[in-house]
Amino acid sequence: MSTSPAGLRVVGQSVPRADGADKVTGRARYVDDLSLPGMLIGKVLRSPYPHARIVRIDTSAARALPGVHAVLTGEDTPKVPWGFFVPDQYPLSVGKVRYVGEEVAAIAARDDETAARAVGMIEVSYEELPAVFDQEEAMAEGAPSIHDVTNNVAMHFKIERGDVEAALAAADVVVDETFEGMLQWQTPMEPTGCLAVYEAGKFTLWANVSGLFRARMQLARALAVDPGQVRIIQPAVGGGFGGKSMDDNNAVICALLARAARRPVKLVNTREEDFIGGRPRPTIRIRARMGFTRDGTMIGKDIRLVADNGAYSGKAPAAAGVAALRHDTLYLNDTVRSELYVAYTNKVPTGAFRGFGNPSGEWAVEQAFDIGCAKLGLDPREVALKNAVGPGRVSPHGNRIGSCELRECIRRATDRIGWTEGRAAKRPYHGLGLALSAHVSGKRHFYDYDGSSVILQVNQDGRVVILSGEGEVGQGATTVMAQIAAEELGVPYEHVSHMQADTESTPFVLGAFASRLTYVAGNAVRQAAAKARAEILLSASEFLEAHPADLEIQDGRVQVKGVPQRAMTVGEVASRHNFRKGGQPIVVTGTWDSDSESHGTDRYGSESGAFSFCAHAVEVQVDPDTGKVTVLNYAMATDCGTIVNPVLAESQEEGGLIQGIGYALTEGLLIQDGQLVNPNFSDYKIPCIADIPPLHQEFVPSYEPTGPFGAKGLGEISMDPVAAAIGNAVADAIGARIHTLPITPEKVLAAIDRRERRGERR
Amino acid sequence: VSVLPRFELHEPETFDELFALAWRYGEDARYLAGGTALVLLMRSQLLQPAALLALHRLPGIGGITRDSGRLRLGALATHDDLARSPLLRQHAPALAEAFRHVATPRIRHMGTVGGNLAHADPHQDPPVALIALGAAVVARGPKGERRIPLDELFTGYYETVLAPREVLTAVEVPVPAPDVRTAFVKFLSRSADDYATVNVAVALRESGGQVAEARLAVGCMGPTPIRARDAETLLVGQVPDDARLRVVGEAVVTMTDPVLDSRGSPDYKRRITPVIVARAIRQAWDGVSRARRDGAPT
Repeated sequence: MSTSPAGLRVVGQSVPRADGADKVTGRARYVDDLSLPGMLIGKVLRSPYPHARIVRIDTSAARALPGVHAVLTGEDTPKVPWGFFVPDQYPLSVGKVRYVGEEVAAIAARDDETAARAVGMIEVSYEELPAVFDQEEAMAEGAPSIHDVTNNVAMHFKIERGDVEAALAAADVVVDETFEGMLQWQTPMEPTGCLAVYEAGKFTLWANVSGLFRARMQLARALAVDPGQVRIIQPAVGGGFGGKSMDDNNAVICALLARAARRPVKLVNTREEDFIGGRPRPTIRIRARMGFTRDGTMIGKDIRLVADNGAYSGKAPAAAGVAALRHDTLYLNDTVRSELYVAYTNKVPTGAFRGFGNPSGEWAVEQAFDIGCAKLGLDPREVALKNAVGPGRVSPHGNRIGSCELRECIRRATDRIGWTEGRAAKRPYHGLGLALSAHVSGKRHFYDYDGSSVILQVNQDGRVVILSGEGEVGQGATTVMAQIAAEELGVPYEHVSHMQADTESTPFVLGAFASRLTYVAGNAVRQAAAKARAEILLSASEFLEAHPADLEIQDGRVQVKGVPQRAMTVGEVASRHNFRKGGQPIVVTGTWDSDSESHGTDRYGSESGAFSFCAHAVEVQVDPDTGKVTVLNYAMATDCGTIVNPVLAESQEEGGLIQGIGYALTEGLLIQDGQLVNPNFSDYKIPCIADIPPLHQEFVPSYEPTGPFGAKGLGEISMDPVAAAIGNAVADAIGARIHTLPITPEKVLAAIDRRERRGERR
Repeated sequence: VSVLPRFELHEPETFDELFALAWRYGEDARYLAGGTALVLLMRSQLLQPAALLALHRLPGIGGITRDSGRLRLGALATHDDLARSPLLRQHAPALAEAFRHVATPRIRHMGTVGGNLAHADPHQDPPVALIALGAAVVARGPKGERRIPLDELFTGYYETVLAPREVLTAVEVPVPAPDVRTAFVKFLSRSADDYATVNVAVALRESGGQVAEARLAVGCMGPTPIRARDAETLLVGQVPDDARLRVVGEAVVTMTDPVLDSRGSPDYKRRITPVIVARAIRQAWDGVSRARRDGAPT
């Protein structure tokens, strides 16, 4: 059965994943599977204190241990602070430590056991400093100073469009409530790791990072060398979800050890290290004020966000920026204000996680919207439909919306969950919730560039190889790109493969983030495939003695239109094109930069070339005696343009939902006095499959004119509104609101108690 | 990569051999059953035994049998063996149910009932279900064998009355009388794949519309599983209606000493304990009344 849009053969089909067979047979080689002659094992000594001055480090005993080849402290590093947005961290501590788990020293030794023993022999004396663990306490007068910045503020902005106070004053109903998310960890199956070699002044790293070239820029800075002295090769990667976007020190330390030891060094985090030294989703406290007129029109919105950066700035400043602004792409209201503070605390630094700032922002703002509906006595579905944006809209921050089926998403998600009937037959401790989201398809985040380039080569056997540095972390990017190339070229999907992403043999790109690969890299691949197709047709026109315009490529064969017997295979064309005097292989480049705009300090401009939209509707049941929330039924309707691969798209959304349910109900790093108390899967609970409700998925018909075959980004949006949708459903069920994540049974029970003390009944 | 400390592995085939090895290594040796808890403790460097003495070649330490009114669970029977055992499912379905809910399939295929009890983690399900059924363990040491009622085995977090070289060889469960109904309820505050927040097992015998005998056990609520004798007394001679269940629930709570963990605060755990106790008793009692209604043998 063909699921392809009209006229398409490969795009729209659930072809098997390009990397699937290797992964299920165990052939795929992850960092920890790699080995080189003479390879050493790296190990890191981490700070036990949240904030302390390093008085003295004695490494002599560790150095004297047989089998130890290198011992490094901050003194042995270039001491260049690095970081994507705010360079403020060192590879190994210099002068003081700022969180429990910070890398203080590192060892390279002949094996795990020796490395572990040597780490235990390093003696560090610390002088403890006062520490602060709450972002607003950190900004208060007299708080301990973590970095050399005023009030521990790493970043601040305030943006106002229109007169927000006047709008709120004129509103019939004003919501004013404060919400906070939590530190959510990415939970990839494979921990972060690296194998590094230093030879002839050059570093080569097999690192499981998700953006090779951005990682190279950061590594070069941290190592104080030129980018050309760093080569990164991407092995098979066991999931990242943002956690492998090189905000942490693993690869830097591994490279430094390899240089010091003059031997290959492998440094793979233990699961516990991945927890304590990773870069989880930042927690953001958000006060949301929202004004509506009596008929449900939103007329003003004001949010103030204080994000907990942790001890160093990973991607929290950028993620919090998204939490502050992206939501204004959803609704027709133009009168908005956002003020954001990102404050340092003595906790684990934070970073990118699927959804970026959106799940944090939605948790607050989509609940505020729901509270507004309740205050107005209106159905959230109708209020959402009334305020939802459509195609052609320009958001107050300048986002230009192309294709947009948000209203259809709202209708379908609510219909699939039986929204209207369910509300009419409301049962006690039973609730329905709705939440929406908008997501980018790539973002102009790194200088004034939001593009992608590929090289595409057609071999003499007609097989096609894509050289792209975007890489594959498990999301299915190489499968989708192969489908786009096969579609455009007219060759079978099985004839297209990918070169391993490598900063020395695949072209410069930005890598995976912001749901950009299908849309941005897909356009580059499509363009390259179109060029190759034109070249093949031109060459074949000579061999088949026909005008190129009269030729077509179908299933790997070039043929004269209407005369299928006058044909030759793509391989035969490529071969004859090559093996003749003055011949050459068919090698083309494709390059595409999106129509997005980079943000100045006014934060105005269309941050992405296309926007995806979704609506989630959920039905929950609450046990009034224990507070336990059971998710009974879930519906998601998404507009992400053309679906390139239905099975991959569905599984992306399933994964997003599961991580969203974890964010809503079960997860969260627990830090007590600076110590992470749940750095394992026994205490840090992700949902298991028995916790996942029946899921109804809809991809609404949509076509994005600027996307490859009409496609937009899809990797993250399914995670964005889950917690808010569940939060709204819980509020509907118990008649009270939970303001912090996760929604534990304990909080729910306390909320029911408070409501009952007020004398209200369900 | 976390490193498993070096150790010597011995696989004795007789108890004499086992005790000789245990004598030789003293406190540096640990008995190895399924290893699911032990290996984790070793990987996290909490234990660094010089030797592991594997029990799997010892005679008469596995299997599930029934003789003279008792089920005998060999110490090396895995959770999965027990969950699937036709004998258990017939005579003690609540017990089979408790084993079915331990951890994940991987753990259930490795972890053993003997290891589970000797480990003495108060968050486990099997001890609670076994206490409610009046189980005892058989411990064998160099000087011979002794029986220990399960509600006397545990003394604290990860602590038991077992002497240093004693090894658990079997668990004996009296086959419940035909008119006894049992229930096991595990409350999970987060994921379905988790330790219980509180778990309750109950065995009730009915006579003349009242509780004639009761045994009640509660887990996760203190350093050891709790046999709630005071609450049992409050049930006997009574009809377990809502008012009685409230009294029983309050009596159970006074015996608990829960700690804060990622599953909830002590207050929350105390708050929901009577709820789960009442659910377990109701479930068992419903079994009693259903059996009478259906005319099943009582």
